[in-house]
Amino acid sequence: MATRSPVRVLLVDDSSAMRSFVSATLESMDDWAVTVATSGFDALRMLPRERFDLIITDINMPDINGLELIRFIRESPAHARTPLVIISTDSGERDRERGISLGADAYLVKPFAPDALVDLATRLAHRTVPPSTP
Amino acid sequence: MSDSRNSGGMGDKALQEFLSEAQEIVEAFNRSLLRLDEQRAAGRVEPEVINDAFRAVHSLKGVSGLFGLNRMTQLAHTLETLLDGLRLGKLPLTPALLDLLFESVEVFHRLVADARPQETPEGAPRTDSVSVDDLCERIERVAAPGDGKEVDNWGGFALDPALLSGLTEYEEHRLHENISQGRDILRLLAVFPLLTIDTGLDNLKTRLKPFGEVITLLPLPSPAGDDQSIALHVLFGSSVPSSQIVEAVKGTGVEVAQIPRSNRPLQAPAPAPAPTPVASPAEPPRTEGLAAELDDLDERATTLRSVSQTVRVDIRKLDHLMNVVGELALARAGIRSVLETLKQDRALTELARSLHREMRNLDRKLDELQAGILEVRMVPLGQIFDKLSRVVRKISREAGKEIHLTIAGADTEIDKLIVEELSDPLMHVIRNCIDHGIERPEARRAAGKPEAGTISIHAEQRGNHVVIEVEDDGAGIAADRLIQSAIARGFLDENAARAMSRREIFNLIFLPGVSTKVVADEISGRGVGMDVVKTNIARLSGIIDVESETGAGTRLTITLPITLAIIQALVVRVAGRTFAIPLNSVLEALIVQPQDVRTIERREIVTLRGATLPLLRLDRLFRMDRAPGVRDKHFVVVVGMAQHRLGLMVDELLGQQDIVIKPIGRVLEGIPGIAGATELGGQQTVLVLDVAALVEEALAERDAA
Repeated sequence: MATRSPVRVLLVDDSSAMRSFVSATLESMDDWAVTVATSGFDALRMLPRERFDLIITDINMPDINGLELIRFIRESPAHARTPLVIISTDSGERDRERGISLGADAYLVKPFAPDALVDLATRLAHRTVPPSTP
Repeated sequence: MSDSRNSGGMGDKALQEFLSEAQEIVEAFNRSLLRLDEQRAAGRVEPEVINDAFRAVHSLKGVSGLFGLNRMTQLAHTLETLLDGLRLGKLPLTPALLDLLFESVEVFHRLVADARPQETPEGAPRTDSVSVDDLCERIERVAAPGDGKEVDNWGGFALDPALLSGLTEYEEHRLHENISQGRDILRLLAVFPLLTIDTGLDNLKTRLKPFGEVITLLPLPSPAGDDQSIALHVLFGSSVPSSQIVEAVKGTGVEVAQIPRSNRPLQAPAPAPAPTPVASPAEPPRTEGLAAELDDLDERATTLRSVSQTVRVDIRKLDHLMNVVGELALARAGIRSVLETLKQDRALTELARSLHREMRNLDRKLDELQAGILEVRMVPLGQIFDKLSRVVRKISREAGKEIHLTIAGADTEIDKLIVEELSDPLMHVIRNCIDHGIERPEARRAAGKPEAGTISIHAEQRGNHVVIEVEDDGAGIAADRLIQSAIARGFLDENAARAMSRREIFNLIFLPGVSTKVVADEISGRGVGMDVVKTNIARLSGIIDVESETGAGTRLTITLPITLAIIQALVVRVAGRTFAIPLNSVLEALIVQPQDVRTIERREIVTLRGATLPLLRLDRLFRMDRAPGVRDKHFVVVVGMAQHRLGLMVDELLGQQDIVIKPIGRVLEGIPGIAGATELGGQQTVLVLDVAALVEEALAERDAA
């Protein structure tokens, strides 16, 4: 590639420690930039203005939960095809399945190893077709 | 379990960040629980508070796992399952369950403290002091997955499948609940500017709150060209006609739409709670078995153990088995005497030897059987302590006092029957601590104490006894008022009062009707006197003692045998009669020469290793006739309860034997010093001494001297 534009990730999670962990893990890779949203609303504010190569979202959040966010994302033309990862817990099986049926591409079950995150994120982010002219 | 503290490549900084977040989450969790506690008491639990609590442990679990804080993850995971059951209506919220949740808060605090990297001195080994296994196990017992099946029938409401697909399991449950409570389901459309969506939404929620429940928010794709605002559907379960909601949101631009309902039952008037196809409108769906079990728990604060373990046994069956074991022991004693006879006969030596071998085998198995049955009867004291902490929360709130309850030794085990009988007396003791011991916050502040009082319960096993100490840091017992009260009730006069020891004064509290209460400003009829507590403890062959210091607090010490079912006894002879002394109170036996017995202030004593040991002659106590004559030596059996020692003078020591105490007949009932009767080999009935009562007797004599 001639010019390497960074891989842009949107991370939606209401736990600050989880945000630190995920962004530190992903940004340890060259050219990865993580934008964090602390709530569903926060994400709603960012989505219309930016494009992302990967969206990672928690499910259990107050007000707008991860599932509703996924539905919203899939219904927005700009993000309909953005790879989407759910962060879930082992007990959240039903919600996880629902998320997949709403259009999420993969899920990670907490707690997960940094390697698993890197592995999944690189595979999904590179699936994206390079953004066409805006 | 120890924590690996593998931070997965994350440094101390990330761990620190997590720990402070964890601290906040735990505090928020605690606040949710306190609210739940209040709401439960008021009979109106808000589902969102349960959900808050659920989300707290959910977050803790996810993040603690990243840092390898295994115990925290384990506990959070267990709690998550419990709270998930609660929020999905599969479990009812009971005080017993709340107790477990409150206990978890304490444990989380300790786990967070344990995980802090800087707080242990360098090089010092970390102490993974907190075990969560036991707590988790107890939580798992109540959180056993119930079957909260909900029919996918939306009460006839025409709900958009797209809308339903975005609901989490919890939100779906709330929707079911709202429908089954006969509420109308409304869909509100709200449009907020992106920048102020948080405040806009808070405002809307505040307006809606009095009229029902916001079930979920669904963001809608923005119309093309508008990226400055966001549209949301608000799914709302309304307990009032929709016109009232329209009124409530007037001026906010929010549109209210009632979701049409197709097959609404014919007779039902529109807004009233109507029976719907969803099963039992009033009751949340739950499993009967588990619910009943938990109610039962609540009622008697009985063993949590029995919820999940496979067998429930009536304690009377165990008593019966124990009796059989006792009888087997008697049969064994019978065989042994046959063996002794065989041994005398030279011609039968070989036979005697074989029998001896078989006897040894029988002995071992019988001991094993007995120990096994005893073990089955043992339950941890923690069961009643859990109940106590609930009582403390409740009473302290009523009394307007803040009280910390600390509990140590909850895993100390004691006979199930004793636990059950202990519950009430302990409850009274705690109630007394709160009502009369701990001062009001203002008074405490004035006395330079922390506003919150502390009650500590400490239990431990000492030999064959369990000692439970209940200590408060309150005002202490007002000795003068106690004396006045005892005099007023005619138990003593001024002169006797002046001659009393401190211990004796404080123990006046156990006399019927005696208290430190200033009658005029006390609510009468509250609680039971301490005399009842003492009677109940004595019934369990236990003793209770009190120490107090003005301004500093009071300590009650309860000493109990571990079991009452079967005991080992020392069999002795006094004046031609046989008695059994429970071995768990026997410390040693001595031979004493008559000249070593001295009389001080009309009481006989011997000096044992430099300490004075008071003596008690059983024949005098029971007024038995004895052949005249001077004995050349005495046997003295030293018995003890807690810190008290007493020497029982006897003529002969006959040996040890397992005995099952049987209730004694009317004739002997109420004679102090006799606990019951038992049979020895050869069908001989002997009396079992009540050591606790004898020690009490001696203490009273000592104090009177």
